[in-house]
Amino acid sequence: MIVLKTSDNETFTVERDVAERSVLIKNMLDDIGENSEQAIPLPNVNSSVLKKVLEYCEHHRGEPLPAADADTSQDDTRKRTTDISEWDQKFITVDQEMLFEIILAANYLDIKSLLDVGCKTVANMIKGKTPEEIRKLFNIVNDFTPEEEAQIKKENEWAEDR
Amino acid sequence: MVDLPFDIWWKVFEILPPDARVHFRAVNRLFLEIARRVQYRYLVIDGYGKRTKRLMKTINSLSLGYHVQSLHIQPWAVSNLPSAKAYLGPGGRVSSVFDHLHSFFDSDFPTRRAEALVRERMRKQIRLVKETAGMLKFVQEYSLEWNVDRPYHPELFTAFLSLVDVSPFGQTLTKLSLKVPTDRLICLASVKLPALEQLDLQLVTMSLSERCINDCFDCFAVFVNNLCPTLSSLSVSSSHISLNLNLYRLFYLLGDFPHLRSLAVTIPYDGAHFSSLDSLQFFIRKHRQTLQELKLLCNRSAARTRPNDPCAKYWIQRTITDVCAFGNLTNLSSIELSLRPLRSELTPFLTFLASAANQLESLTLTDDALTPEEVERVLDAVTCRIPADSTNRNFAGYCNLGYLAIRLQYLCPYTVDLFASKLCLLRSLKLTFSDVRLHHRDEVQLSYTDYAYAYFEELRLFYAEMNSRWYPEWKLSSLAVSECPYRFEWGRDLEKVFTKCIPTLDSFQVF
Repeated sequence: MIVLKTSDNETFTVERDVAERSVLIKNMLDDIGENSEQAIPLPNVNSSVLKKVLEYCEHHRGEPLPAADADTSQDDTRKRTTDISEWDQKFITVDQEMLFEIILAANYLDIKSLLDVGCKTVANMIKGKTPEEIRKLFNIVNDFTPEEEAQIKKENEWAEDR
Repeated sequence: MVDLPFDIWWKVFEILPPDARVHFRAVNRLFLEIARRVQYRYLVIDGYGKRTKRLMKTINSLSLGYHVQSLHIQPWAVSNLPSAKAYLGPGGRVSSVFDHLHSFFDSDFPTRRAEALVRERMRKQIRLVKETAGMLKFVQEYSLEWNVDRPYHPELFTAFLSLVDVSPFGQTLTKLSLKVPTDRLICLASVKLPALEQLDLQLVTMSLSERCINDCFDCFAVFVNNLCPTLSSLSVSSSHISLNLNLYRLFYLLGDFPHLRSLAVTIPYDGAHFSSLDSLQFFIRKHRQTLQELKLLCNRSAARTRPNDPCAKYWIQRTITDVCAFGNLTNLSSIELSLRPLRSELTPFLTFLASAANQLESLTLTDDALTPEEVERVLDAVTCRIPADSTNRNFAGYCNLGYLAIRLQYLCPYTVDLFASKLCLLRSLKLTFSDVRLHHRDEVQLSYTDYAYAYFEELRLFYAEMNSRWYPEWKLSSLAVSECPYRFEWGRDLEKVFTKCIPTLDSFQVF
């Protein structure tokens, strides 16, 4: 069993193969050795987020990890698939704050499949929305000048021909 | 409110469909920057349609060229038909009638007019591409590709080859890939690319005479030799549609490249594109201190216009035998070889492998499929230089090989045992096979008359046998197997079997 310590000093005891869904934790375990009882500090993840992340890892334990070079692929069709499995969809149905926290934790812990699920969820939220709706959704300020907006409109002409 | 960093938004952008991308880029400056970096990273100009024209004009007018890192041009056929707009309106109608009348009195008029139209269009199109290329300051990779199945305009190739000389990216270019009509290579003679590290040349000489090809090589070799301070990777390939190609001349003309780490030569199987291997062998010998990667590959047999040496097909065997005879390639860590010309005799190949065994990290064997016994010979060769330490059983048979790609006649538990025992440190394995068997000798095969049933039974027995295996010492983390079109759920079943018996396996792929 492995002990993980969160930023708010909570500890979680988990099975090694569950924790090793995270490449970061796997590398740390390789470094500190097989029999160390030291708790692994995760200063960038709080307990509520880690609980969700571990729920994901528990569900997907035993599945092969995606290849390390998968994200360098030029296969646009594969990249642009935003389909999410039923379980993952249910799992990731959380408020936006938590969604972003999970994405950041997946990025920090290097759990590629969870990061993919998070990014696909954000992509699905963006699909079909106007720029103004996207700004409102993610609380983003429009920092373009009117001249820049005109430029973008012109630039979009060729992109829209795709 | 938590915000997402740049690289996460980047990932999100990459999975968005095109219509959503258009809205994403108009949200704020950060999103626009992401969109531009992704969308202009690879610039492809493979035609002169409305979209490509708009794209180039946008890059020019908005100075977006600094985002482009890779440029790919595939020259196109310029239309000789007048545009529909030319005959619109009263003026157009008069012009149409005039052309019609003119062709009555001058039978060559339509041809001359069409040629003039093509010339004028080509001039305009080249100008726009050149203007765009002039905006590209940080291109690192440039490829110019000839679609040999389509008619082509030599002028376009000359103009686009000259981009490396006249555009600012000539100073930053690190990789150049060329598949152009061979006679166009002449214009590179005076070009100097101070940062070029990788040169890929695909030769298609069609029916050009050997003399003409050699004249082109004389000029092209000047260009290549000028790359001597930086060139680290050279790839030369030719295909069966090059009738009179003789690569002896090219390698004869090439000088010394003190940083050359990778050499790849791909020619038709029969070796017809080398009248003599002396220059290639000498070139390899010259670089034996620096070469880390060697690829000798073949493709389909060439059409011949002259009698060919019947032994020319052994060009790979002869080359590697020569390498062994003149001392090892001291830094060679990656080998990729076509086995087809080697099939008659594996000994030279095994000797070569043994000579590089100590430093070999990657081995790819393509073309012919090996029997389990041949796989064993290959693995023996790869591990033969490791001293068998009688006090440490595990030490014997260890080698540095981290990647192996191999084609098998069939996969059997015996072969998997061999990989696991002899290549303990192997990280990545790619296997091409379309059948599995329980045993590795033909005489103990099942003798079912119903082949479909026999296959099914053999597969079941193979899975059962593999389920009893366990390879705790094997460090394999990635396994890729070829698809088997006639076996349902082949990949899923194999994945189950292998993830169970190889504890370190992280990634399983079917290709």
